[in-house]
Amino acid sequence: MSVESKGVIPAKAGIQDWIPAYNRGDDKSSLQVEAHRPDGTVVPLSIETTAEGRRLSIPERAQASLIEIYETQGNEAYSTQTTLRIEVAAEARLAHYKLVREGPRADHQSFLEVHLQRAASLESHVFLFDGARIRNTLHVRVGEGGNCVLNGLYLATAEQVMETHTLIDHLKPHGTSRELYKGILDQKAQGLFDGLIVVEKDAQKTDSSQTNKNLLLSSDAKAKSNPELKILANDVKCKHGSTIGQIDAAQLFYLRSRGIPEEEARKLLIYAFASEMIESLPVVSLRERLHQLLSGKFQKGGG
Amino acid sequence: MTQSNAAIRDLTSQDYKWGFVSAIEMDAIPAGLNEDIVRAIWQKKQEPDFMLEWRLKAYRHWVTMKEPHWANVQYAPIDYQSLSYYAAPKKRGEGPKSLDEVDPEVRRTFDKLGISLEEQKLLSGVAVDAIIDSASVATTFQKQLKELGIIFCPMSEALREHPELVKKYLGMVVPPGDNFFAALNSAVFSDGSFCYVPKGVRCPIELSTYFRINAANTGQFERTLIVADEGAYVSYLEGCTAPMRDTNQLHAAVVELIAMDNAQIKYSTIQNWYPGDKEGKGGIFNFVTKRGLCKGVNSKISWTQVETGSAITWKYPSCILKGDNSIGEFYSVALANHRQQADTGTKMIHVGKNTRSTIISKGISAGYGQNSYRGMVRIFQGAAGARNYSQCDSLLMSDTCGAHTFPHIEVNEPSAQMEHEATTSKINEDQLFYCRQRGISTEDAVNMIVNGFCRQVFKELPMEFAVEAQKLLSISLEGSVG
Amino acid sequence: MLKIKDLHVSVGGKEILRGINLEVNKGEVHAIMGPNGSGKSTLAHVMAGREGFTVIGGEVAYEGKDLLAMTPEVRAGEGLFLAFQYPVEIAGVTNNYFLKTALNALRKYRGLPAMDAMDFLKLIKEKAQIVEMDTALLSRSVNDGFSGGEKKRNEILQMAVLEPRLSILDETDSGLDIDALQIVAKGINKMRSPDRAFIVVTHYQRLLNYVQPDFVHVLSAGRIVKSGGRELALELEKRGYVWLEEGAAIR
Repeated sequence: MSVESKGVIPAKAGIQDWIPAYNRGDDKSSLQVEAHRPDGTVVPLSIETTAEGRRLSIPERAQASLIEIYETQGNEAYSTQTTLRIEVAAEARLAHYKLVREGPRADHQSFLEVHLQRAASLESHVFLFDGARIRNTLHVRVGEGGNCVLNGLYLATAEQVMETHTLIDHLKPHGTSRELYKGILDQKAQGLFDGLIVVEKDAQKTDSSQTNKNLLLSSDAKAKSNPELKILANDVKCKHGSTIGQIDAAQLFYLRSRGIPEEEARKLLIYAFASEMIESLPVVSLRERLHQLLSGKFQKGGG
Repeated sequence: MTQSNAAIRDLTSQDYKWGFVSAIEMDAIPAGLNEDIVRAIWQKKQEPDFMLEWRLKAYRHWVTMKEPHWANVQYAPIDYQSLSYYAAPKKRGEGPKSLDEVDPEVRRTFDKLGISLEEQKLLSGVAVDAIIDSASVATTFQKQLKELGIIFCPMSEALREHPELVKKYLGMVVPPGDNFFAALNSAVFSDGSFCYVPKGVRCPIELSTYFRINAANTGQFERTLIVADEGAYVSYLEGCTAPMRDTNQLHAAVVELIAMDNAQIKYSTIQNWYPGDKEGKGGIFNFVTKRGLCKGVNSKISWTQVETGSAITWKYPSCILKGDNSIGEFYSVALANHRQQADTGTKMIHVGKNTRSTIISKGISAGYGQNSYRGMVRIFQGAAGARNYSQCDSLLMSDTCGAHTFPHIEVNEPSAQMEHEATTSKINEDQLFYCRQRGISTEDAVNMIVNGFCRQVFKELPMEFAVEAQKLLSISLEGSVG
Repeated sequence: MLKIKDLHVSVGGKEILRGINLEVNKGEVHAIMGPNGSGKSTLAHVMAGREGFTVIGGEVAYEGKDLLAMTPEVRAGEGLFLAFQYPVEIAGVTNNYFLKTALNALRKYRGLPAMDAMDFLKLIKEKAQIVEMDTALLSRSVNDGFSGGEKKRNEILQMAVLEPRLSILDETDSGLDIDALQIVAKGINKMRSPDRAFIVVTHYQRLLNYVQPDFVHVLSAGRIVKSGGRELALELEKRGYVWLEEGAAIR
C-alpha cells in the first residue's frame, strides 16, 4: 500500500501559525511550504505534480520554508514514496525541515532535489526517528555563489535501517557547502551515510566541508560511512571527516566524577550528542517537539 | 667453476635458470591462454607436482570470472587471448648492444637519478660481460642471509628448493579465486620473490629486487610471498626509480605477506612504470593484488609506496588484522600527471582485538591526471577496541586534473573508534611567492612544497629510497606548474 | 641605491599608487607611514615582485638596474628582502630546511659554493640569538603554529641569515606586544650598517621609537604627501593623519 503525501499549501495560515497546532498534535499534514518576498508579502506558491514527482519554484529573492512531516503510527506494512524537485531562483533562500516517524513496518523513501541558482541558499535539517527502513535522499546542485547547509540526525534502534544518500554538486564558482550528519545506532540497527560531494571543473573557489559522526551503542549495531569527494577544479577548499565510535570515555568520567551515576551519565551524553542537531534548527518552536521525541526514543532520565 | 664465476653466469645468462629437461621446444609456445599453456609453463619451470593442480585450478576459476571495471578508470579492453604468457627469457646478445641504443629519454632520467652506468646497463637489458662488483655484492649478501637461516630467492628457485615451505603459505592470503587478476596471476605467474625469515631473526639488510638475480627482466605476472615467523623482522624494497619500459602492457602481480606472533614486515615500493607519452598512449597497466595477513598476536605489517608511473595503476595493498593487538599501516604518495589515471587505496580489515590501523594517503594530481583514493575500513563485530585513523590529502596542481576520494567505512563493533579526514588543496600563490622572495626559484619552491606535503609518507621509507623518491617526484613534476 | 620615479600601480583595475617618487641611499633607514588604504603594502609588494599588481607608469632603479624587469628570485639574489606582514605557513617544510635552501639559492646566484648542513646549523644558532629565538622552533614547519610575535621574529631571523642590501619591512610591528616589538627592533638595529638600507612600512609610530629612521615619508591615497626627518613621525602621532590629508587636499 502506498501513501502519497498530501500536498497542501496554506494560503492563509502561515507556518508560524501551523507550528503550535502541529506541536499539540492537532495537525498532521505532511507538507507545508510558504514563501515571502523581501518586503514581507506572501508569495503564492504552487506545487506541480508531474509523472516524475512534484515540482516547485521559489522566485528570486524570496525566503521560503518547506516542512515535510511523515508521521504515521500504524502497525501495518506500507511504503511512503515521495519525490520533490525545487528550483530556487537567484538570491532566494529555502529552509527545509523533514521529520520521519513512520510505523514499525513501514518502508520510507523520500527524494528531494534542489537546484540553487546564483547566490541562492538552502538550509536543510532532517530527522530520521522511526520506520523499518528509511531512505533519505537529498541532491543539491549549487550555482555560482550558492550556499548549502545540510544537517541531519538519524536515530535507529531495534532492527531499523536508516540510509542517507546526499549529493552536493558544485557547478559554478564561489559556492559553499556545509554538511553534518550524526547517527546513533542501538540494538540491531543499521545506519548508512553515503555523501558525495562533486566539485565541477568550473567551480573554482568552492569551500566545502562534510562531517559524519556515529555513535554505536551495541555490538549488533552497524554503522557505514561513505563520504566521497570528486574534485575537478583546483582552487578549492574541500574537506570531509567521518568518525564512528562510542561515548567519549573522558566525558563519561567527568560526569561520573561529579556524582552522576554511569547509566545516567551515558544517557546524558547520548542526548547531548544528538542535541546539537536539534539546537541548530532555526525554528525554535519546532525544537521543542524534537527534544520530546529524542528523550522518548532513548529514555533520557533526569534533567 | 669458482663460486663467483657461477654467480656471474647466473646473473648474465638465463639458460641455467630454466633448465633443459623438457620435451617442449623452448620458444614455441603460442599466444593465448588455455590449460595446455598452463601445463607448458609448469613444465618449463620444472615445478613440483602440486603446482600443476594449483595453477590449473586457478585457471579454471579465472575462466568463470569477469574482469572488473572501475567507474573512475578508463582503458581499452584487453584481449587476453592475444597475449603471450610465457616470454622466452632473453638470451645473451638479444638486448640492446650498448647504452647508445637505449631510448635517450630513458637515459636522461637515469642520469638525473644518479644511476651508475653499470646499473643502467643492467636495467636496460644490455648484455653485461662481467659485472664483477654486482655479482660479488649479490653473493656476499646471500652468504650473510644463509648464515641467519633467511631464505631469499626467486619464486621459481623456492619452488624447487623449498617446496613444502612454499606450499604451506602460497595462496593463504590471496587465494586464487580472490579476484580476476589474482586468478590469472595464480595460473600463469612467471616469477617473483620468496622470502622466509625464521623465528626470532631480524633480517639485517633491506631486501630488494635488485639483489634478486634477474632484476632487469621483471616479469609481467610476478608472484611474491614473504613470511616472517615468530619474532622476525624484514624490510623489503620493491621496484626502482628508473623508468621501466616493457612491451608487455599488462602487469598483474600478486604479493602475499604473512606475519606471525610478534613479527614485523615492512614493504616499500617505488614504482615508476612508463606512464605513456603525453597523450597517454603506450603506458603500462599496473594491476596488483597486495595483501598482508597479521596472523599472529602483536604482529605488524606496513605498506609504504610512492607511485609516479604507469598509465593505469590499480592496487589496494591491504591488511587483515587477525591477531590481537596487530597493527596495519599504509603510507602512500600517488602522482597522476599528464594523462595518468591512478586508482589506489587500501583495505584494513579488523578482526582481532585491540587492532590498530593507520592510513596516510597523499595524492598529487597535475596536468590531466586523475587521482582516486579508494579505501575500505571494515571493523567486524568482536574486534573490540579496534582503532583506525585515516588521512587522505589531495594536492591539485593544474586546473585540468582531478582528485577523488572514496572511503568506505563499515563498523560493527561498538568499542571501536574510526576517524577519517580528507582535505583538498592546491599550492597556493602566497606560499610560492614567499619562497621566491627568498630567492628560491618557482620550480624549486614547488618541489619543496610538494615534498613537504609528502613528508609524512617519505619518512616511512628506508633512507636511500626516500632520497630517490624525492628525486623521482621532482622529475615527474617537471613543468607541471605554469 | 634605490630610485623610484613617478611609479603608478593599479590593482584589479583600480589605481592604488599614483606617482611615487622616492630615493633611498645605502646606510639609510626610511619610514613610510600612512593610513589604511594608502597603498603602503602595495608599494612593498610591487618592490618584491608580487603578481597581481600592474605597473602602469614610472620606473624603479635598484643599484642602477631596472628592478621591475627582474623576477622575485632575481631580486632576492640582488639583495632585496621583504619581511611579510602575514608570513605564510608551509606544512612539511621545516624552517631550517627552508632557510638553508634560500641561503644556498642566494649563494648560487652569487657564484658561491653551497653551505653544508654543519656550517649552516652553526650559522643559524648564532643568528637565532639576535631575535632571541629558540632553535627548537626552527625544526618545526615554516611558521607552523607560530604566534604573531614568533612569525615576525622569524622574518627578522631570515633577514639576518640572508643579509640583504635593501630590506623592506611591511608592518613588521603589527600585532606585536611591547616585548616582541623590542626584540624585533633590536634585531633590526643589529642589522643596520653603512652598506644596508631599510624601508620600514608602518601605520603606528611605536616601532620608530626603537628603530630611529633617518627619513619619514607619509603616504596618502597613493602619493607621498610629506617627507621629513624623524620629528615628522612624532608629529603624526600627536595630530593623526587627517592633518596631513587636509594639507594634501590643498595641493
